[in-house]
Amino acid sequence: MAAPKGLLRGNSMATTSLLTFAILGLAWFVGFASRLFAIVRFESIIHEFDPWFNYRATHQMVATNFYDFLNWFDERAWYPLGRIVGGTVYPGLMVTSGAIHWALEAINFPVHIRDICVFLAPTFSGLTAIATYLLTKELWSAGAGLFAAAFIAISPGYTSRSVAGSYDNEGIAIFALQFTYFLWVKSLKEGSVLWASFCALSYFYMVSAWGGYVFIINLIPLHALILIIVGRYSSRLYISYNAFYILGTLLSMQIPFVGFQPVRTSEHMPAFGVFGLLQIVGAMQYLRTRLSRSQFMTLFVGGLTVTGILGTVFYFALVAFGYVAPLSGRFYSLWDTGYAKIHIPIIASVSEHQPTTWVSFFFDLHITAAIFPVGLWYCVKNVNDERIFIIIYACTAVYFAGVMVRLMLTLTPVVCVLSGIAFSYIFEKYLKDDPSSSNSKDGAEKATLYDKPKAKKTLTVNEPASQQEESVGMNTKSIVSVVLMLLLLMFVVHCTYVTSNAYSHPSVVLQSSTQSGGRVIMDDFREAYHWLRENTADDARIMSWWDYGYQIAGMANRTTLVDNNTWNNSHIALVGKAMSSNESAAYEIMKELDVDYVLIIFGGMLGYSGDDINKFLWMVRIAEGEHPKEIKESNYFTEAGEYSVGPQASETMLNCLMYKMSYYRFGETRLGYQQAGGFDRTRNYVIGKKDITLEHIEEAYTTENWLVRIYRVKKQENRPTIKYTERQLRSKKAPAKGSNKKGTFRTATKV
Amino acid sequence: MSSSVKVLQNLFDNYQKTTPQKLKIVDAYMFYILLTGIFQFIYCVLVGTFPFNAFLSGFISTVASFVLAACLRIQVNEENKEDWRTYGTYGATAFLLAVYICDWKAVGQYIPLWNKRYISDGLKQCNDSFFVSVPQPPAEK
Repeated sequence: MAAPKGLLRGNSMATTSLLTFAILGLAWFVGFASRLFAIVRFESIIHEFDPWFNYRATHQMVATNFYDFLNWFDERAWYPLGRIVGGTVYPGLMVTSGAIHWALEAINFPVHIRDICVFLAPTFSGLTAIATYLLTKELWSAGAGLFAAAFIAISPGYTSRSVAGSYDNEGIAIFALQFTYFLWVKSLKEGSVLWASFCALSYFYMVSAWGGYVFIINLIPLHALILIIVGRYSSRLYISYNAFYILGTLLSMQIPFVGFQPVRTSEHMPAFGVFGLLQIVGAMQYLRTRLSRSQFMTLFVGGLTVTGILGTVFYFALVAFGYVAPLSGRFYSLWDTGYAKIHIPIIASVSEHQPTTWVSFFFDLHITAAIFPVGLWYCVKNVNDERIFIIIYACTAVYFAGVMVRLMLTLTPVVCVLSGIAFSYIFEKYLKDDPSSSNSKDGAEKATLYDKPKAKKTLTVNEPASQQEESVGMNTKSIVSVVLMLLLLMFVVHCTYVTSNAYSHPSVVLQSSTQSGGRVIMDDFREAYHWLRENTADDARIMSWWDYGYQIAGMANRTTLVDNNTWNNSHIALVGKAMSSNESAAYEIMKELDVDYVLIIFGGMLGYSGDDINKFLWMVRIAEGEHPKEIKESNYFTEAGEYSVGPQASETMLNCLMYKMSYYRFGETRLGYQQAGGFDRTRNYVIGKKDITLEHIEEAYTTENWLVRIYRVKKQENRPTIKYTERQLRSKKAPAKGSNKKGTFRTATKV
Repeated sequence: MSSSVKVLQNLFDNYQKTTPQKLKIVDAYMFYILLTGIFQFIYCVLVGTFPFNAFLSGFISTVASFVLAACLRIQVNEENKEDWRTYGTYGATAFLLAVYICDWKAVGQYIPLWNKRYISDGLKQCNDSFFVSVPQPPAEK
């Protein structure tokens, strides 16, 4: 036989390895590149609000050392309370960036920490693609893995939270999630303590990275429970779950923020319950071989019911006595969706926490939203232990994604995995020629040549079989393959379009285009923060709504009163009350809180719709939650009951501090020569009160497009003085009467 | 009631007869660990939970040792049809035993970040607690 020629000498394993390596490398590159739109259009800058705090914390860690970061008490946030950063932050993100920074410095390749932070999320998107490939390979096959890796590299649901510049926890958390799930499935298949320990280590990384680790610690016990109920209990499950749970719990308690929560809160109790249940089921399995059937059944049924009842009673007793905290508000609002609006308005006011519309499903998932049920169906048809896991993951993720827009992010990985499985299955069937059907046809023909009466029977027997396999002819196969290929191409186009237009806004810089197509950049935010940085004292206190706290602390480097961490609702309510009260009442609050400057966002000149007047009702609601006697939401509406800043607005609205600060001197602006002054381009009508005078604050700075307005809080005035000649003194001397004259005895003495 | 007593009696006899010697050693080890765990829990209930992390670390380490020994037992048991006997099993058990029986300092001083916890005389950096950075102790003459 001649030696095989060509690059790989006909070695099929070499071919598959090369293909796998090349495809995964390309997926990484494409994922990285498609997230760089904002960098290319603007510059390498941290976007949004939350990433500014993460950047500031990372900067602090790199400037000092790790232990100083863990012990950091930030006195420039939440003035005058301060914030214990070390104990209230998930350090995984900062540690990852710090580690990369340290590694690069060690090989004498210095990169500024800001650039590392900006480019961290795109880098980890490539790693997520590799982790998804490994997970899908365990679940189905390597081909499905490659499809899934390609899907998740560009899927908009994931890209939205991991563009370059979006330096947030989710960027590394999704990688940790997929990797932990891959290690869990692998350890379940192998039943080895080693893989379960690796899974626990990866879970530790996930706990350090994101608060969504609660999803893992509830999904894996749910999987174990379903396996027990369905009757697929095996010693592999016992070994892998026990090793994972014990080591994972121990490791997760090392993060200061998590602390004792794994043994004290209801969110972690299902894992503990399944742990206990698994011990019981394991013992039952052990006993089953040693007892007769009837003895086993009495022990089993009796014992299980008794322990089940005891377990639930014990749990409720613990909750009642306060040893175990009930389900926290954040997670309870996922079940009872109306709860947050009434009890925790801060959670309800965040736009990411609103329910998802179906448009978001299509926008973020495109064809994978329609194809993934196919993959789910194939998993159900060919079920085994690990495919039950992906089925449960898909069902729970779909429910949660329907409740909250933010949780579309946890839906995207499972949708990519299942679509990968679907596409791989279809292409495997439809891209191959079926050799077995042609063989049976040959056999049937030969039979007809030799033996006619028998041939008819064999012919009729063979034909249905060959018809079943050849039910889809070659033409249909090629048409379906081409159509699916076109769908995949459209998916790529859609993802690139969505990433470019919708998810690449730095939101620190605004952009619009002129009529001739030129680009107009509005850099008002940075202009204002730069002004603050250069023209205010180093320990000046800035009061603003909590949305901008992190940016002020990061870019302007000044002390803020409230910021995006929103850990203290009463403090935020105080700021809200100051913004909603009239100027004198607000001045009292500002004096109490030691405020030097007030910063607001005003979009009326530009038409920017994310300004503080649009958020004002939430300020009122939050303030009303804490001070219901002084602030009433109904006072801020017109008589007709609608929210307006026009001429029909109520007196309270027209005199509140927020209105005055937003529209000070706005009445003098005109859009054109004939237009009335004070036309608000966001609300699209003329404002109500145009001649505004400020008594206790004065305007310090307004940016070029009036987007950010900064006011200085004036010191108390000196006491008012009166001229000497106009003084009026009240006289205390009584007029002279008879017995009061000088020289007379007042008391008559009788001699 | 008597039937369950008889069931348990049967069980114990069966166990004595059919279990090989090396599994009985592992079972004895597991029983000892169970006792230490129970004692720690009773102590916590009686005396109180302060400091909570001390109770947690002691109790969870007994549970971990119990559970990992159970995993070892499953994997070494000839009754199980699946083939186990990975070397990792023996290695993990050996490590656990070493940690449990020896002084933690003897093992812990070689683990990079954790060795900061321990005042090892002259061996490595020492600290009081994981979260407080303590300046270097002065060199002793």
